[in-house]
Formats: sequence, structure tokens, C-alpha cells
Amino acid sequence: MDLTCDEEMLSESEGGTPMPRRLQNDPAVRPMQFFDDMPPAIIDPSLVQDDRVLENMLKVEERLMPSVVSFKLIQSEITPDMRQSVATWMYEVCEEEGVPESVFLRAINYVDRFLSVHKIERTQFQLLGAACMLISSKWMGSVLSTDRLIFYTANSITLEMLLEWEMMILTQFKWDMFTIVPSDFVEHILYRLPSNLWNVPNVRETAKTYTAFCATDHNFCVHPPSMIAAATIAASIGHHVRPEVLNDALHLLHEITKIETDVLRGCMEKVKMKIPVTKENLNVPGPSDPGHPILVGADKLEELEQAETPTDVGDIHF
Amino acid sequence: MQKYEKLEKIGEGTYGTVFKAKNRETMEIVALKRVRLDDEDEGVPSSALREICLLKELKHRNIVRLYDVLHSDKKLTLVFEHCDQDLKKYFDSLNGDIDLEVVKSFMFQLLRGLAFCHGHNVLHRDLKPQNLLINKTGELKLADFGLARAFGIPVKCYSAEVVTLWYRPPDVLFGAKLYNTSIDMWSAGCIFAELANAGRPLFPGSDVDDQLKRIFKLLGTPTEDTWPNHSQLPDYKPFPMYHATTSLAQVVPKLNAKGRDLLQRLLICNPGLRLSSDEAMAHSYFNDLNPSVRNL
Repeated sequence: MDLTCDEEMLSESEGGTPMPRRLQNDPAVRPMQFFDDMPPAIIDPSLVQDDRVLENMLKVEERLMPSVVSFKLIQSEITPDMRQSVATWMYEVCEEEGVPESVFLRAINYVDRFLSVHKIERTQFQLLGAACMLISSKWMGSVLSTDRLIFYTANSITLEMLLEWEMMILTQFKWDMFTIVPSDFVEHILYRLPSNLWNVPNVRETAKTYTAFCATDHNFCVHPPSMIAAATIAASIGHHVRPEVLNDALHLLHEITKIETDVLRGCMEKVKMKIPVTKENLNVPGPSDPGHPILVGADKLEELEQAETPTDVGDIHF
Repeated sequence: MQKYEKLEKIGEGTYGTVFKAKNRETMEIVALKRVRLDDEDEGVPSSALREICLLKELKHRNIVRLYDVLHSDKKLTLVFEHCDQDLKKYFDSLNGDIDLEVVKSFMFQLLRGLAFCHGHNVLHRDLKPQNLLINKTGELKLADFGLARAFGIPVKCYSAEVVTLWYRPPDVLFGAKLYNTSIDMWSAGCIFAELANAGRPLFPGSDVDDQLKRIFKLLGTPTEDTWPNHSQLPDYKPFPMYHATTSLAQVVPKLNAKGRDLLQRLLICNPGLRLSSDEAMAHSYFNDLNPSVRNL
């Protein structure tokens, strides 16, 4: 399973848009190879290097976070376990359809936001998840057709229901869908780390996999996206570097995100507890082979989450 | 649509028709954009969804304001602030003469709106005079975000149809897939020249080849030195080696030297070397900008 988008990368030599000269001439800035494993259109150096963009993201990220307190107050039928089942199902749909993890992350943010303002019955949970994926994929310009979404619910929802819920969610949120998700921060943060940290093998993919991983667990809902991004990056780096280097990394992550180092460390530990320990990720700080996937992939996620059609909500009869 | 009284049709957007209308209660004049939802197996069209969500986020004096979204029986109605006209119609009314202060003011406001978009991760991707709205008070606002994207969106293949041909940069014309804020900066350069010439388009190409030929005839055909690796772009084809013989002074005779320098820095074939919106706003051409425009 591959969480990242499987588009062909156009590196500069293959005809992608070249880096601005400002970047190329600045020895402090990473070389083009940094972007080699990224699909086109994701990385826009002029935006990643722009501090205003990161500042704006940090400024607005908390505005559209779900409220865990109101979730508990409002929902009587929905339990964290059900959320985990539906989230895992959504993850699998996105994975199966080959859409990037950010589609999944936005969709799950919409689900959580909706649950913190609107009471639903458990039989409506999967429908909510499907409608949120539909909105997220439109917003992101990916294709998740209504046909396919209905198919993935084993035809337990109808087109009319799906479109009705799409409109209901958009209206409920007053069309405010400009959510920032952890994977958005990953690029911006990596860009600002020194080379010994960003060239840790697969740090980007691993961090992004972890962000999806965390999103299936409701315990991470309380953390802002920037914190999850920083903590997953720290967790990814931590597998490969000595503790003192990790300490430095946490300090740098604090400077970038303005989140206290201890808080970041706590969140990083929480991320690590979510991740199954494998032989590879205990390989500290061994020789790195960038071509070899070191850490847990989505297949481990699947094992861990025992992802199947949601069991608690699967026996739905509409 | 009881709340609004429809007055007249204004035009066609990327999707749906735009009407001028009056709020029956407040008498406020607004622009209504109707999006039909019938025959839609996919629900809200994604271009409409993106425009609404982006404009909800982009609240700025140089970006058209979306007041409200109304949903009723199989249609969506977007309620926008009303502007007197678009830049295209304004050009038509000029009879070939424009005040250079107005050129400077409009260009500055265009760049300021773009800087706000780019600072919020948003590319407009479809800048053209028809999408720039102006008011009698001299305000300019970016409109029609139907093709806009938030950055970070991995699109399988940005449609080649993006950006009206005349305002399309050479990298996109050559099929570049990875593009960024520089796409809007090229379009801004073309619009700058068009402003300075009171509405005469700079590169009115008839097809992609003709478009590139017009660009290279003015700016010179790019080389591997001026634009490394451009020959590797997906739709690259060789063009004759034109040399930039026509000076910009001939192309935009009314524009002063500083203005021509700004234009030159926007119209750079190599997208990596084009000015950013912030850099363009800081250009010395705007040193003597009327302070009232800065505060507008």
C-alpha cells in the first residue's frame, strides 16, 4: 500500500518547472532532489519558502478544529470505537481509489467537525463519512465519484441521500471547508529543517503515513494539525538519529511551529505508541538507504486497525 | 428568490449565469450567480464548490466579496458584491486613451489581490480583463475563482485549458504540469501591458503555436541558458531563434522606464525568474503611487 500519490514526478531535468534562481543559488536551501519523490503540483517552492503562507496556516488552523467536548455532549449513539471503524473505512476507500492522504485527512476533519455540532444516529455515520469524502475530493480536485462511494458502502446509501448530506454538511459549515490538515504542514516544516534532518530516509512519506494513522484515532482530535505534523516528523526522524540530535530537532520544530518542546515531545510519544514497533524502525542510527522503505507502511496500519467494513455501523439498514 | 429582485443579466461565469439584483429589504445592489444542480449525478459542481469555499476564506478589498450562498430547489445562488463593470468593458469604453495614474492604481490593486491569494495558498489561474471587476470609485477586484486552486492540491493533470490563451505563460503553453504562483504573475504582466495600451491585448494569439510565436518574437526565443531544460517540457516544440529586436518602449510607448522595467520582469519566459506579487508591489514603479490607492 502506498499512501502517497502515485503520479509521475517531473523533476527539473525531465521538464518540471525549474526552481526559482533565488533558491538554486542559495547554498542554505536544499537541492532539487528534495522534491524528487513528490508528485507534481504538490510542491510549489515559491509557496513553501514563503513565510507568510506558513504564518497564515498557523493562524487559521485552529479555527476549523472539531470540539471534543461538544462531541461528547451532543452525540449519544456515537462512540470512539465507531469513529475508528468509520475513519478506517474512509482511509481504505481513499487508499483504494488512489487519492492522496490529504483528501482523507480533510474528510475526517469534516466528519469530526460535523459530529461536534450535529447529532447523528449511528446508522448515518457511514453516510456522513461518504459525503465528507465527496466534498473533500471535490475540494482537492481528485476524483471520487458518487457511484464509487455508494459502491463502497455496499449500496447501503442512495445517490439522493449522499447528495442531500453533501448539501447539508456544506450548509451546516456555511461552506467554510478551508481546513488545514497535518500533511499540509509537513512540507513547510521539512523545508525549514537542516539537511541532516530532512534527508533522513523517507521522512516525508513516513510522517504523512503517520498523520493518516493518527487521524483514525480520536485521541488525536485535540491536537492542532501543526502539532501532529511536527510530532509525526519528530517520530519519523527519531527512528534514525541519536537522542541528542532528536532533541535539537524538537527544538527546531518548536521554533518553526511555536509549540512548546515538551508538548511536542509528548505528542511525539503519543504518535510512537500508535505505531507498531518493527525491526526496521529500531535500526538507530544505522546507515541509510534512501531507496529502501524503512518504516511501517500503510499495510501495518491495516493490520493494526483491523480494517474491515465498519462492524458497529456495518449492519445498517436504511 | 424572494429576497432579491433580479434586474438584468450581467454575463456568464465559468459556470452559470450572473445577474444584477436588488435586495428587497436593504435595496443593496448585488450580483447573483446561479448554479443549476439538476442533471447533476455528482451533486455540487466541484468548480462551484471550490469557488465558494475559497472566497469564504479570501476576504480582501481587492477580491470580490461573496456575501451568501442560497440553496433552493435544484439550484445554488451565490450572492456577490456588485461591481460596476469588468475591465474588459471598461477598456471598450476608453476609445484608446487611459490615464497613466489609473494604470498604476489598477496594476497595484491587481498585485495586492494576487499577493493575498498567494499568501493564502491560492492560485487564481484564470486572470484576464473579464475577471477583474472595477468600481466607479476606482477599486479593482479579482473575481471568478471557478478555476482557482488551493495550493497543496495534487491534480492529476492541470487542464491545458487553464488560463485563457492570451494570458497563458510559455511554460504552460509547453505543457508544464508543475506550476505555481508564477502562472498568475505572467497573466498580470500581460494585463499590465494591456492596461498601458488602453485595452489592446499584448499577445492575442489564435492558437498555441501562434501564441508562443508572438511571445518569442517580442521577448526572444528562450535558450537553454535563459531557461534551462525547457526543451524537456511535454509539449515542447522548437521555434525559430527570434531575437528581441522590438524594445518594450515601442510596445508600451506610454509607460515610463520604471513601468517598462516592471513589465520586463513579469514577462520572463523562465517561470522561476518571474517576479512574485510581493516583489512586484515593492518595485520602484509604485514609489509615487497615490497614497489614497494604498489605503483604498
